[in-house]
Amino acid sequence: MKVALHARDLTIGYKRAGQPIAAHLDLTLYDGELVCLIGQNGIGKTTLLRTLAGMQPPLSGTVGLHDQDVHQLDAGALARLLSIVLTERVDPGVMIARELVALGRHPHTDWLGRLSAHDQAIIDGAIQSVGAAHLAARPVRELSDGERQKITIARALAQEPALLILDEPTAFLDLPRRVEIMRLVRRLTRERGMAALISTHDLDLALRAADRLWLLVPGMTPDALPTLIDGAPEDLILNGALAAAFQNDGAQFDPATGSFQLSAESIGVVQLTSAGGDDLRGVWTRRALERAGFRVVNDTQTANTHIETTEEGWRVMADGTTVHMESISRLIEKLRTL
Amino acid sequence: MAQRVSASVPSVSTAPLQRAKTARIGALTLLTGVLIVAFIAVLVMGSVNIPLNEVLTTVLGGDASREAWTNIVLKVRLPKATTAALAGAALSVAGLLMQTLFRNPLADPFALGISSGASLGVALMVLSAGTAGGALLTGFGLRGDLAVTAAASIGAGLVMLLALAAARRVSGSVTLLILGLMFGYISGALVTLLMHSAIPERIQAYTNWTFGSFGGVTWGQMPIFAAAVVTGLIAALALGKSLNALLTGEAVARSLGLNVRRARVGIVIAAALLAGSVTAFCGPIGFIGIAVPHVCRGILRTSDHRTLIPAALLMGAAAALIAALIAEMPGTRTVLPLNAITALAGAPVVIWIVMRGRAARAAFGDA
Repeated sequence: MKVALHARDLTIGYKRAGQPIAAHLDLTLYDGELVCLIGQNGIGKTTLLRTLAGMQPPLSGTVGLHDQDVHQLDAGALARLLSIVLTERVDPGVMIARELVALGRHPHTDWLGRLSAHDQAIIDGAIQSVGAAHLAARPVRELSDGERQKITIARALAQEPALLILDEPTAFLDLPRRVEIMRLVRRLTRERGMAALISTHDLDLALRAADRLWLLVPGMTPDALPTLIDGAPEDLILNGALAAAFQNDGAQFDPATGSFQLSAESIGVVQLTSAGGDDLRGVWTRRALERAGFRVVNDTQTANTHIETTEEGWRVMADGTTVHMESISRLIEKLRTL
Repeated sequence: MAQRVSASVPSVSTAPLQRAKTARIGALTLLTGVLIVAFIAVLVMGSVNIPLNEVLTTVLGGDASREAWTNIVLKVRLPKATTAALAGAALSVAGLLMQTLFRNPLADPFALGISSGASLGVALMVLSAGTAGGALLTGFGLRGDLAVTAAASIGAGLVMLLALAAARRVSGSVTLLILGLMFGYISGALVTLLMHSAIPERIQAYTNWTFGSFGGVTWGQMPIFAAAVVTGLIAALALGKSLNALLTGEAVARSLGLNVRRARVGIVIAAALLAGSVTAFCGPIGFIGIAVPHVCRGILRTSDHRTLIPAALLMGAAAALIAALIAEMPGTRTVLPLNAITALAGAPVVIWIVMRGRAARAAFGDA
């Protein structure tokens, strides 16, 4: 694979701050690869993105994009290599979606901004790539957040970049739209051989979509700088890096499911077994019990309450008695009284 | 290298694009027609109405059947119409530049403080000068007076230099807007102080200047005025691509390859040249510069500056000519203050456009 982006010995931050945000980073991004940048709020994700995108100078080190230093290139040349989708929503005024996408040709057109037939074809291609042909003639103001995000990505594609950087592209979207946008970017990297770097809080989606994660984690001691852990999502789950990164957030990362559990004090231990009913019943029963604060185990040693899923509902066996429950909410109510 | 987009069969329909393009060309043609009619109307109508064929004969180099008509057309109405057309075009385009740069629908050509600087220059000369220079005290002599134009130019020029110095330094354009606003307050305060201690005749002369007039530019001064305005308009047309990129906000514009600082300096120079020269030669003429860009967006339903700039140019020129015509009160000997007319005649039009279509309101984010 060919290297798209290569940051060497990069130290990022603000000169006036006295202390850098992160130091001596070596990062590589390959053509056609999707990398998600994950980390807590305020740890420096945006600063890292801005530095990689040439929007702010590094304190030291270099960022190369297809062998050119992004901090040395003029704005036009950089815009032909790199496009950015920012979180900030700007109202572009009276404009239809296609006109917004056409602005992506800015770094390619002449001083008058005239669009050639070639430019028009690329604009149409970008709109089709994001599946937004039906939105092309709609005013930008009338688009929903998800539609607008697609058009913004089409605008970025019209720049024909080697690298696409998206700063929290799913921040304002509902779940189906978040999945859709993430899948879209993933497909675009494959189809176009373009590298993409996404900063996101959607760990769940990042784990499914990203080829690699860049995990920005706090230093071990209060004085230490954050460090960046780089690896395939599955590696970071298996070696515990993800769980360690998020352990203090009031939520616990569960390596088995790849999602967060709300951590609360355990209020009891229950044994859960199946005596009928499909797997789904078991899965959601477990979720509900954990949410209610019970630790769920499979053996009888530690648990003094035993729950069995059945075809019709649930059997609760405690203190030598057996009660039948027909819904999860009744089940939880019953358990709390025990 | 990233794989380039294959120019596959475009299934994005181009029919709406074609229709929009045709509509825009139609609108520009219509505006040109209105401009020509308004220009001729200013030549024909006034305290004395002159028949159209006589006016055309005179303009084309012949002599009207009465010598007085030839004089009126060539020495009074033609320079006035030319001044009005140039000033209207300049103010509207300058207003458009400011509204886009500041992303603010309330920005006008004087947002940088240009007219404040010009007013202060004129006030310093008219209000604080000794009793010598009595010619200044007569209303009409004042506007034609080169000294007033020079004072206004110096005032506007100094503010432009300040704005430019700021434009090169600050990272966001909002700072520029605040600086312009503050400068307006300072110069307004200074003018008040000057008025406080000035004699009533001079205050009257200054007030007359603030009314604005297209009648003060002589043929001798016209080349300077026209050169300044035309230069500013050409600069604005050349900035169309940059202005379009700025519609997405400065951060995205930068990522699209725009050198935002350089674009901002260009916009400030063009707007200051346009607004400054109009103020110097015609006084601080309000309203046209803030209203015409909105009406253009409302009618043309676009934010594309490559269409909006020519449209604002044509519509601004036509609007200024119509205002000049109304101020003249054709058939009477009365001439009304121009600034009162631009607002009185223009505001209802803008209210109608804004209430009627969402486009104008939508132009800057107001749903």
